[in-house]
Amino acid sequence: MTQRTGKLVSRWTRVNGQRWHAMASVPPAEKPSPVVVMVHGIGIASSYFVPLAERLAPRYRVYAIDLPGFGQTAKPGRPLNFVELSDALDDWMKASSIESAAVIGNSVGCQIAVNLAVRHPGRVRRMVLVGPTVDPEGRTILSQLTRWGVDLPREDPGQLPMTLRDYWRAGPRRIVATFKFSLEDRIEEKLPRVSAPTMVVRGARDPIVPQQWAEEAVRLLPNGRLIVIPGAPHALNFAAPLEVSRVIRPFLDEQPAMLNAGGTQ
Amino acid sequence: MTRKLRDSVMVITGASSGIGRATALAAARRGSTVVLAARREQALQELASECQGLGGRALAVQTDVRNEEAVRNLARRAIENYGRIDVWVNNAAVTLFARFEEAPPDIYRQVFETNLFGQIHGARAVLPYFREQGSGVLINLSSVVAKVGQPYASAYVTTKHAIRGFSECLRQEVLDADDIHVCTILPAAIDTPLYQQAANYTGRAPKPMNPVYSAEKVAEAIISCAEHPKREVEVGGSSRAIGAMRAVAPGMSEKAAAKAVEKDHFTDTVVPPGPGNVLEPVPEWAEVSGGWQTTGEMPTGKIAAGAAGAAAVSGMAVAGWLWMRNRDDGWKKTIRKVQRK
Amino acid sequence: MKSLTFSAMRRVMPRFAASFDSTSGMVRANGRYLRGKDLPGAGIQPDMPILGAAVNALPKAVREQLYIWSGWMEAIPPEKAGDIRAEEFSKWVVSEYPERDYPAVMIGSSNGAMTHLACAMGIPFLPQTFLIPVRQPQVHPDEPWHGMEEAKEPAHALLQANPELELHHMHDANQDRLMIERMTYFRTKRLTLGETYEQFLLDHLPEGGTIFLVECELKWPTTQIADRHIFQTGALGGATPEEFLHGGERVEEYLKRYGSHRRKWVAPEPDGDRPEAEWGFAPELREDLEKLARRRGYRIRRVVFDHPENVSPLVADLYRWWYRERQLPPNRLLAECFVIMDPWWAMRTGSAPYWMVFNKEESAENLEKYLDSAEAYDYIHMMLLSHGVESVGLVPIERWKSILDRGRKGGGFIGMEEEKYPRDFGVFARYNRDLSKIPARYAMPGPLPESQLDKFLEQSGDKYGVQWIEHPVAATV
Repeated sequence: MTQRTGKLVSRWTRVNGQRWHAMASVPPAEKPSPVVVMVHGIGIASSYFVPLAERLAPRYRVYAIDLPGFGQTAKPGRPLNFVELSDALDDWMKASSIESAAVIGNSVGCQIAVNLAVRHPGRVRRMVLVGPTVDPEGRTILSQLTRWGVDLPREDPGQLPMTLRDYWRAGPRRIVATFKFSLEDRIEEKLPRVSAPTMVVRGARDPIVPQQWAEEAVRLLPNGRLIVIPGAPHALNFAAPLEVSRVIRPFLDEQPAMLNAGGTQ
Repeated sequence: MTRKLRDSVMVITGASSGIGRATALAAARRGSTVVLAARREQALQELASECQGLGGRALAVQTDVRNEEAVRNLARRAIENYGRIDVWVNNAAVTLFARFEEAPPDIYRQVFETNLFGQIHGARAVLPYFREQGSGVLINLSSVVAKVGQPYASAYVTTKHAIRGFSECLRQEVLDADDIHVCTILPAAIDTPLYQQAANYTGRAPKPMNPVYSAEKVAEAIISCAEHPKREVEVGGSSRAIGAMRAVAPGMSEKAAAKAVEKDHFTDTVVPPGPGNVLEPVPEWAEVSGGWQTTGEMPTGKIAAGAAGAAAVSGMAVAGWLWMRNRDDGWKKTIRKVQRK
Repeated sequence: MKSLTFSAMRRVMPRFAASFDSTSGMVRANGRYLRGKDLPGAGIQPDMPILGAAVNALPKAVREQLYIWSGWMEAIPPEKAGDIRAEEFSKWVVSEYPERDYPAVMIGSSNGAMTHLACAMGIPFLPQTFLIPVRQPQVHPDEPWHGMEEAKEPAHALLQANPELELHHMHDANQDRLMIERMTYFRTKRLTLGETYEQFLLDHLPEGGTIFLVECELKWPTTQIADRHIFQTGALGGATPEEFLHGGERVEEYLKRYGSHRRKWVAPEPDGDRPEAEWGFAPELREDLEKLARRRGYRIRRVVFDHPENVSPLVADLYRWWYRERQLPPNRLLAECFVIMDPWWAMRTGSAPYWMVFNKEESAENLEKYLDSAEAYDYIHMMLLSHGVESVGLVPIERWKSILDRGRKGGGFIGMEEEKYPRDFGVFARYNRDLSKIPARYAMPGPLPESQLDKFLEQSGDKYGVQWIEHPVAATV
């Protein structure tokens, strides 16, 4: 029952002539494993998904990607909106020979994952939305910033250095633009069109995703369920990777045959 | 460092009534996430709603702790739903009132299955999660009768002795993990429906022996251990007095205990023999209290004074006796010779 | 009156009631059991083996005289009959029982086996019958008619003062030969519950409780003398009613043996069969009880049987069954006789009690029959009453011994000197001490619940000739 942790390495892929970076698990040698793709939130990148990815690595083929413009992936000329980002992710999956995957998003990453699931349904077999944004009840700049301010001290302080580094890499212009895109993207209108089984995971102490919104999101999903992790903040994948891995594993394993479609390289 | 109760996940076995139920409600009141285990599904569901109403998250998992697979499943369900277990309260217990010779062997064994093996199953299920988390508090409900014996309840008393020993062993085994704790709770007589649900082959309805304390008091001790783990916690002042008396005059205290049980442990109500809830749960009594009159707080000072007095008196008696024995052994032998004739 | 109440509080019997009687012995046994005590000396004599030995060391004639005069001392002078108040006896009865709530109460015919059942169930027994010995030295034991005539006056006074009583004046020249040498037996039966019993039920039997109404339907040909005054020649014992009334070979021989001037008894001609004086149940009490039961929602369960010993195998088997339920070995039988009984020691030694009315032929036969049908016992112990008379139907000691021999591993007489039987008056002083020499010791159990009794009855069917009848008590609105 005790989880083993696996090893992750940087992996580079050329997509439409651009270099994509992802942290990828060293795949188990013997058999093809289900593929899991992790999509980060605003400003930060794959690095804060590593603790969770390590816990899933022994069992799955895990990719924590850097979206175009973030982390170590090449920067497009202008910030991409969420439709563009999800199309880019589709391209990356094609380039990486990943036919379909279980997609795990955090925060704004959830919005990109939902866009992918709606625009390219074949790519998303299952989806885990960890702290999905944006709560329609708080869709103003002020409200979001306030909530973010409340959340910050609750987060694991270990996350701070990598957040600063990733913010530096992304640059303020791109962050502000992405933030605006996130407010424009109406996730509540897209959730009803998600066909993949979806699990919403919420930190019980996450002010950005109130319980009510999490419940609403699950209601909107045709096949959704909600898990609440007591005591956890917004970035659960970093603050509570053990807990998240424990709750999502049974979900990911429910129909392993469906996930096992990663193909071979 | 243990987590705040508000952020903790607490699994409670035997949650449908008595101390388990009181603990669930107390924890829920502080915002804990509670995972409720017992055999009675209906009672659990109602309790879960009640806990949610108090502001806690709650999950009901029907569990018979005698079944190790069921207990493993209970832990798994807690983990799948909340990602962690911070506190595991091994509380489920049944009891059997019967003289040892008159107790049906199968019922007798089942008391061990629930009380002792239930806790062993619980510990075995939860410790790997604690190890993985690097933290967790295992709280085992023993009893003041883990320190003394009692007629008519040998099955229960033996399991409670065993639980105390088991807990002490585990406590030493987790010394290597700073943030994993094992606590033993030793409640005195508590106002719960244990007595109404007991297997009974004595012909008389049992009742808790005075002084009786409320289940809420035990719940408080459990909650306190969850936040600040302690090795052993006694609930109910009488246990300390009993312990003191036993230490000083073991023979006398055994006789006194036996006498007290004859006098105070049963009512005049005649009841047919039956297995109570030992084999199968009974639908009634899904409540915290058994409706017994609690004597409430016994002033600690009074108890301490009483115990000290008893200790002093028996101490003198023992000393006197020892002195006599050493001094005049020959004289005693003479008496014995005379008596033999 | 006040002093008597005080006496009752201290469990002292009223002066007029016979302590050697079956009823008082059984009440005492029951009361002591409920108080967690055994019954030394049948509750009559102090528990002193030395006294027993001393008594038995006396010559036969002296022993007989001692027995006669001990009875006489208990008897009241006839002129005091009008002062007797039956309620005082009831007060003593209830004073024997601990003050607590009982799930059930037993009322009715005195019976040793039922006494054991009451003890097992932890419930009290309120008897219908009690005995008043009245001095009558002027009447020869073999002159029942004379006895009847002489008793008319005190009988009238007694009945005038106690309208709730029916008097069964009893004259048994066979078994009670020694006793009636100087007195006669007034057995009385309550026709109504009376104030004391009623208050006891109100105080100690909560609503919905069960009343076991013990109804022994044993009848005897008797003569109605006056209203509520009945005369009975003879009694249940070795001789038959026919022998008592019209004589016979055995009677002739018996009277010859005792040097009587008679060869048969001359007794008033009976005019009907009525409840037997000592054991029989007078049904008027049931009607009275119904009223209270209706008011308090009591359940009445009639326990009906036509011979006192019908209950004995049932109770012995019930004890056995219960021992087995309690995981104890059901391998010991304790045969008791009349008031030589001890429910506490029976339970303590794990013995199934088998109660015999008397040391007579029929009792021996019934016991033999029981042993024929029952699963064999490892140990059989026996305590026999000595009534001092080589009476008609007396069973020789050899036959009792042969019954003891049926114990597969052992047993024996308890508290008896066989060679002195039936003048072994020391048995009273000795049997309790001897009982304690049976090595087996089992914990005293809690009460046997009524549901357990029913379980046993259900399993055993109706092979005992005892009917358990739910008596309809119509509820008033």
